[in-house]
Amino acid sequence: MNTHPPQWASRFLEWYCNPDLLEEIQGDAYELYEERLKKSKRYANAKFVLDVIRFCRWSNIKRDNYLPGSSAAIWNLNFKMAARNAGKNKLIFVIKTSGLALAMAFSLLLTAYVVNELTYDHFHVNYDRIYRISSKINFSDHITHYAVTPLPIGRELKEKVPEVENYTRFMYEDKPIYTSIDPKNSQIFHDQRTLSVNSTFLKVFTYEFLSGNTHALNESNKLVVTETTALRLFGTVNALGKLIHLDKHIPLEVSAVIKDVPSNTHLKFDALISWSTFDRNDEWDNLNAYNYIVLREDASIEAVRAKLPKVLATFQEEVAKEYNATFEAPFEKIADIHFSGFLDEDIAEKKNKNDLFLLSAIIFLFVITGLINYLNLTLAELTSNLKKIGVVRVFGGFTGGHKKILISETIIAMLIVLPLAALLFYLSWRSAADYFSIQIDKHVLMSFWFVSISAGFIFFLFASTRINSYLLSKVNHVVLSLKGKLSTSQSTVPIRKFLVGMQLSFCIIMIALVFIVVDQFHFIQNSDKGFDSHHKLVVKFRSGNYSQITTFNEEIKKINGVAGVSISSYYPGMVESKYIFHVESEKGMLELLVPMMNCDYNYIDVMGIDVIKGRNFKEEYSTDIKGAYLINETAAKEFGWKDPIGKKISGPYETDGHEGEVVGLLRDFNFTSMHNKIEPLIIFHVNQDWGVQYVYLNLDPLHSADLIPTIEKNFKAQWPELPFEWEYLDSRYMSLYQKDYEMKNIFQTGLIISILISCLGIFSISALLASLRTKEMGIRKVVGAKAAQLFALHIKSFVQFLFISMLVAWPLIWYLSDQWLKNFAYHIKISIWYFIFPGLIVLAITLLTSCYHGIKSAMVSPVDTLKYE
Amino acid sequence: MITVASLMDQAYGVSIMNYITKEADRNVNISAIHEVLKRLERKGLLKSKMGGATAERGGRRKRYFVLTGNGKKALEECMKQKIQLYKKVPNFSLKSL
Repeated sequence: MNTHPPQWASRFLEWYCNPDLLEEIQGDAYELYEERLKKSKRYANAKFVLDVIRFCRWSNIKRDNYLPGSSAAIWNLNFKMAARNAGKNKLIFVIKTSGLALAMAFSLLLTAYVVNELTYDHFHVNYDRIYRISSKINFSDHITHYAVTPLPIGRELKEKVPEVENYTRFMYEDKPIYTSIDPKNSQIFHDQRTLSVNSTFLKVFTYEFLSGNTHALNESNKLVVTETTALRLFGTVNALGKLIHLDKHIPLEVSAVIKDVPSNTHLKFDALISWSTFDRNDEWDNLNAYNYIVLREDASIEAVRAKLPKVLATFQEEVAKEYNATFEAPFEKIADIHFSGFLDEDIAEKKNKNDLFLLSAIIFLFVITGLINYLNLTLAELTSNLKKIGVVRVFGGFTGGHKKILISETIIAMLIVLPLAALLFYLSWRSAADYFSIQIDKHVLMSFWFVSISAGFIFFLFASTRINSYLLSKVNHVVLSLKGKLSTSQSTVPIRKFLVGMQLSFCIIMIALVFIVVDQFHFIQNSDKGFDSHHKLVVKFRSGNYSQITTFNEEIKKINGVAGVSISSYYPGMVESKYIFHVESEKGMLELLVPMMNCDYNYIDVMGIDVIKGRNFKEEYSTDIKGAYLINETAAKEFGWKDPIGKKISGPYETDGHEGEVVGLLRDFNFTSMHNKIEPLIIFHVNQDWGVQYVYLNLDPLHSADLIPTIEKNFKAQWPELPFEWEYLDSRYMSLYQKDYEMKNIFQTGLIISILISCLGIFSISALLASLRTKEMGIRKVVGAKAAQLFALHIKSFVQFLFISMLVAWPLIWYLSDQWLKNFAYHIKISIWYFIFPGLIVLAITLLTSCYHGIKSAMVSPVDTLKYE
Repeated sequence: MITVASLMDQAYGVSIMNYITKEADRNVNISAIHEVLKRLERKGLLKSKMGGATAERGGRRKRYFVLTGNGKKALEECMKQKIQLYKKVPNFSLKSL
């Protein structure tokens, strides 16, 4: 019979138990086991396991070299010593803890940001099974990729492909106007991003309901609002059942209130209207809806792709016949939408994944440098405490004595660092949202990745303090430590030099990147856009009635302070409209899809766009209203025209039998952001058939403060029920670069912090080096070295590894900045100064921070240093 | 502590446990006993030494505990107090119990 107790339990005991206590505990357990065997083996086994578990308490686990008597006192002493050290070197302690806290807080913030970006749309329960369908149309000479799709595509896929579990689709409601139902107090709301969605929308995507459920949109004339929208429209969150009018005549009843949509989603909205509220052309040729499908759990998207041609066959034929183009419908996981390229009519914000990798690298460097600093400073301090440790050991401390001091010091430091870091993190998180417009959703803070990474940081921190205790444990001889010698420190200095060198190159990289980023922004702001965006005001219209707007313009023109008024269909950053134009070429008329806009006689003058050849639209020429075109230089190049004046174009007028010719060539102006290349552009004159959307006003730079209220009064006189919406053109342009501003802000903050941390790093390593070379300096001085020479000697070592770190930094600067600048179609050239300046700045910083110890070691009297032992 | 004293030089984990079970009719867990012994030792009331190996424990040694001078004194103090208090109890109240 097997008389052993369960092996695993025994092994478990051996694993956790302090080896000093193991023998007696195991012995007792075995003895009891043998005794209980007499009853039954099962009983004995169970009891043994129970015993093992009950022995598993902290006092049996911890490994201290416990000896009766002095130990507790020594532990107390350790804490006292740690606290006293902190109190003695207040400056260093403050630098040490605040530096670490700063680095921790900043890297946590960056981590939160990166996690936030990487988990876009992950809050939907089925996020890895939801795919968005897009439409890719291949014309003979170019491809257009739309985010919108033919209306029926999702439904057809669900019906004909068994792998598709569900689908949903929605359309954007263009500029909805809500009016409250109460006739006495009729209020107008117009800023709500509204989607009209079909009934499955709330089942496919996951939102938190405050009231109502996923069936809320099954009927027509239903409205689902977010918490904030409910507050704005109805003044209460309990809006269930309340009524409101859309566009004055469509009654809507609130059937559910959901929590605000998290900020990390591509699909942002304030209100949802049920699909069946509106009559729609539900045919394949209506390419206006956003379609999403959910796969069955066991299905793969490949299977759906394989079956797609069958579903699309008839439509593809149609497209081929009508447009001479092929139609494809690529699928895209919703989690990937945030990172993919921008599609036409896309609703998602896009982010470059490269940026995030860049940020991750920065996080890593921050954590490392923060830790290196902390360790360096602690070690530098400890070397001066070696004697104390020696004395403690003489009085009955243990070889691990310094470990305990380190541990207690770490604990004390952590008690300060962790709350401080948490506080800093919280503050920066709040201010990031307020001042830098960096949205980090609060759910991210609870997410698995964020929590585990921050736990990793803390673990890293504690683990790294063991490095120091490892270094110190090499000082085994009491005599050595009494002498205050850190015998092995010579061999660790190169490692530390290397680490500080790394830190320096990091600092150089940051400075260079910030230079480049800031310069690029200046470039954008000051570059010649081809027109003048200063002192321009844009008034937006929802429904452009041409004659009404013309009268409005006449009124406005009379106001003192308005220098010019013009009309245009174009607005920076809006989805531009493209139309198929027929343009003259050597091979006959070519069919091309070209961006277009329309404007009136004044637009070109008001905007200050140069006419290179030909003329602007002029009132004297009656044909200009229909049948005259202006094109830009890029268009002339694209169409292969040397002299574009008089060339034939026919396009949107074609329906009314008009064909026109080019009357003027405009200098290229940048009508989107600098991220994009200038595209060809065809401009024609506004008329009754094309709605007017924007009125551009050229304001007198010295206009009076009540100018805008005056304009508003005029506007209200014309359209009392419409909201007066306006914007300065300058600020509109800046908002096109918001994502870049985020990067810029992150880099700038990062720069300040990295410079701070590097200063601390240099300071600490110079302290360490100075303390190691005290005697050497003393001897040199006795032999006849001057203070200046000693100072130079101290500085020399820093300059050396500064050069090495510069060599490391340069290729990285080049690579990273190149990657970032690729995002812009128009960007600055990288000059040699971006490499040299940061180096010089860091050199200055290095000299400044290291000279404290340099001067100290140079000025000290050799008598003091030589009796150092 | 009384147990340790009365077991003389045979006091170790299991024997103490058995003794308490037998004499005081109380079931105690072995780990609890280890804990108490460790604490008493730390306070300097007990001292211990490792004994010889025995077959029944799989060749492991026992840790025997004995009272230290301080321990004896503390034990005496404690008992004296208890007896003094006990003596103060009037006879009649005892009888009525």
